[in-house]
Amino acid sequence: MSSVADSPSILSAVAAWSAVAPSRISHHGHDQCELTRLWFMAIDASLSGVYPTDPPTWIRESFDWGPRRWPLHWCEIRRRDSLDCGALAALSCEVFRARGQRCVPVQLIQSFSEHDAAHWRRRWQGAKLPTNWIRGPLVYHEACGVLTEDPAIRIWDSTDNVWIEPDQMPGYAATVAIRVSQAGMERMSVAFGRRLLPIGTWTVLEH
Amino acid sequence: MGEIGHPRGSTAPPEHRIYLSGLWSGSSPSPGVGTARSIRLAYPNAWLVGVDYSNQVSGLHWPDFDDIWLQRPWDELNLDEYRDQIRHVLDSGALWISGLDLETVWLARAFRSHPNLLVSPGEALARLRKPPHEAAQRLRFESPPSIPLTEPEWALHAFCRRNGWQVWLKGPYYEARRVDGWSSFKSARHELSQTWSDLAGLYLEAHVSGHEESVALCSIRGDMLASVHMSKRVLTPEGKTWTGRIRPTAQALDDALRALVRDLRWTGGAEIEFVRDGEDRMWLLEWNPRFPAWIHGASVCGANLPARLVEAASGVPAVVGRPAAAEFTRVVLEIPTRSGYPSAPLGTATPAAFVPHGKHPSGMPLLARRLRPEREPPAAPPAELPASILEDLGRIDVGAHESPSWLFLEETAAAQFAYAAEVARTASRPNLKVGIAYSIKTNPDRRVLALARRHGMAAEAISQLEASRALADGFRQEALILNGPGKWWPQGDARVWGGFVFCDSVREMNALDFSACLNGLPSVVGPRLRPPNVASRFGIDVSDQSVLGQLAGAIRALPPHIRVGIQFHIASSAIGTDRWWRVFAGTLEWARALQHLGSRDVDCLDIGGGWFPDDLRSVLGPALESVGQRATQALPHLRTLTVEIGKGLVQPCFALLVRVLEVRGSDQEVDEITVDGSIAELPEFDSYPHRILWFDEAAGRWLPAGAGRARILGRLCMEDDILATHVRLPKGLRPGTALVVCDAGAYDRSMAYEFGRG
Repeated sequence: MSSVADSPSILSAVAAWSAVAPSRISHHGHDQCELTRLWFMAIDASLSGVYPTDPPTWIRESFDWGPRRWPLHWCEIRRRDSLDCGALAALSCEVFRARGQRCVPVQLIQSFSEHDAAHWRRRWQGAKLPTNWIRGPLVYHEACGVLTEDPAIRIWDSTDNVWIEPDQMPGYAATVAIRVSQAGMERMSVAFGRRLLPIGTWTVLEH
Repeated sequence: MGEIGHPRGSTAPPEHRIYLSGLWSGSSPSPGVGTARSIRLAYPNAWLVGVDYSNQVSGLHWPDFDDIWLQRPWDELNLDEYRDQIRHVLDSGALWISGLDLETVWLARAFRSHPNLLVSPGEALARLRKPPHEAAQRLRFESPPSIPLTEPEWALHAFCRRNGWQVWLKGPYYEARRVDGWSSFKSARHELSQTWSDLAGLYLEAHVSGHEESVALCSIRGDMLASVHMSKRVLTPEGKTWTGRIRPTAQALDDALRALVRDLRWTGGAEIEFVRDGEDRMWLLEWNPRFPAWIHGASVCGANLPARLVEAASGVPAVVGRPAAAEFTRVVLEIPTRSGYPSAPLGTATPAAFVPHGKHPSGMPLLARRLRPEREPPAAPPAELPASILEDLGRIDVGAHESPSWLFLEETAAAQFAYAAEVARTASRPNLKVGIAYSIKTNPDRRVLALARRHGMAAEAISQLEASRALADGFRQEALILNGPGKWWPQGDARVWGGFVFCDSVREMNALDFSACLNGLPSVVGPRLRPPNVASRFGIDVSDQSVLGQLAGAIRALPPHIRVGIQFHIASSAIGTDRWWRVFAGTLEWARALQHLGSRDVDCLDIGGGWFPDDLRSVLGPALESVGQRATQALPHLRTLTVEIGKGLVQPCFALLVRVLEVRGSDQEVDEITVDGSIAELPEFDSYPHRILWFDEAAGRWLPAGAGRARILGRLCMEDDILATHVRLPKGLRPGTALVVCDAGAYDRSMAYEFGRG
């Protein structure tokens, strides 16, 4: 079965998700939220790699992937909880920022298969949460963009614990569209491999 | 195989006859099968002859081989006869592509050169032997730090500590074993030295984290024909490629390879294995003098290097295939075996043999033994000893001491304690007092405690008995630190308190009763932290956020006149010095979090645990000032930084005097000696290397035992009472000769036990 979405459905998905803002973790302003936030940063200081650009793989290793109700506050995060891609990406961005890295949320559209989508839809419905992140074989996804000096961007997929490859091949699980968040960005575009991604607008990737 | 050089049934012209060796096709395969498949793609009518050295080799049965030239194992082959047979093959016009590193070395030696032998010159192979530092330099790659195993154990242990015990022990041609501690090092050394018959060629290499990639190339007489880049996508448990992505080699690397290959006059295939780290730096691991086993993966992706090599060597144009994909993968296939080559029954291993049958089916260790140089390489000099140890030993009247007996090395001890006190004094600032604490349990000898007291150090006690002892020996309460889970044992009517108390659990901290003390209240109380990702049974596990919250509450509840301290102790000798610094940095974050959540300033930071004496002088001591600066940047209200040191101070301060009971070996060489010391006096003998000297009575001086092949056995009737392996012992040893085992002043001394004395 083919898992490559056609161009019209990608453009339709882009239109549908254009108003979606990247996820962020909220803070109640009280001690419980601060306890978890500080605990999170201290854990990262203990578990992170040698370099500040080393990805925080420990986050995904500490949390399962699954449905999560939003808005999400720091005090609601417990180790071994389920977190969705938005929460995992937002936490990765928090960690990179705490290490002094410049980073921005990145929104993605990825292509899977209709039967994968059916499983996810049932799972989210079981948790009584919306499934509007799924459109046919396409899914809305979030990641964390780490800006380098070039200026270029590396995109950390904190759900799959991999750097997204700029020269990935088309097909199953491929990223078909990317939007780099405008938040705090002075530039109009960033380099992603050999591509130039405009800031704040979706780019459909031609493979 | 018919007449040599003229295989049965071959109607192919001579230039289409190609001999391919290295046919093993298991989980760590040789490239022969993949090379054959690639050549078959480009030369459908070629006559391919597979060569190997065991009928266990599965690739013998691969159908692309038109014929098989099966050889006897390398230890049975007459190498002159084999050379002559191969010459006959080559002279007939056939090509030979070797898929076995060591066979390549032997062929280069045996032939020097032959136009049909697609093997590089011996000088080129020698220049690229592992570890390939020259190639790394030429290709502008990083070289992972490495050290040959012929170096003294003392240096090997230091190398492992520096590299965080994330180290590989590598064989000279094949094999690597991960080393994560001294005992795993010794086990890997034993295994690989048995396989390769020697320590020569074995080396330790620091692990580099990152993604593994390779470049394969083919060249003829220095003219690089093509190269291709492969990044691993799926790995086997051994780290071998299972799925890979093929790309053209980056231009800069291709250019550098071209220049190097030209200089080397490289002929044949090669594989350059490297790791790309998180900073995009490339670390060269190995240069293999043959095609990689995944070479057919590149061929199906459009880069058929074996065909390019054959085309250049034979002048016969290759059929150019179309690339099928940019990635390849392996699958497991069952195929019928070749007629006339029944498989041998499984051998019956001796009960003690753990090495799986068929681990080296192409017999490379056998060939390695035959290729060993006739003269052994010069032995590395023995580990250096501090001059103070030799001076201390020089003052000892050997004849006046029974054996085994402990020798206190006074000058060494004085120098150790003076050094630590001085670096602490130098690192102190008006707003930060840096102090040293001596861990009593490491060695409670009164002479050592007196030195600590004289140098203004604190004493760290782990029981009420040690605390009372310290106070009785003159330590003031303000200079007494209580630590560990048993600090209140044995329980009496009232407790002896230290000036500093570090709790091993939140429960202990909440239960502190400041009314039940004999000698005044502590001034600093706090938790011992167990940082995440560090294996320890001690301290409070803050990886659970609810525990962090409880701990913050306990800190908040401390009486206001008691100041807050934070402690962490992790043995740097066990986790490596670099990792220790990362744990230290992480601890500062935890302390900052607790300071904020507990609404109390952190006044004292107590760090330490298990510094190797050399690292105390080369790593911690020189860095102590910056440690203080980093700590006060993170914790601006910090007033006291205490560095607890035990073995780092006292390990070199005692040696064990032993005497030879029996000498075993020949007139030329001492194989092993038994001595009257044992693991009962040296219980830590297996945990780290100990430097050993023997007393040359004629010269009246102590001489170090270097690295070699001899063993020193203890007196006990216990299998594990082996005090040293891989040492060089002089021929002049005789029963009664005195030896000293240095570096025995820490837990060797305090944990020594009575055994076998009736």
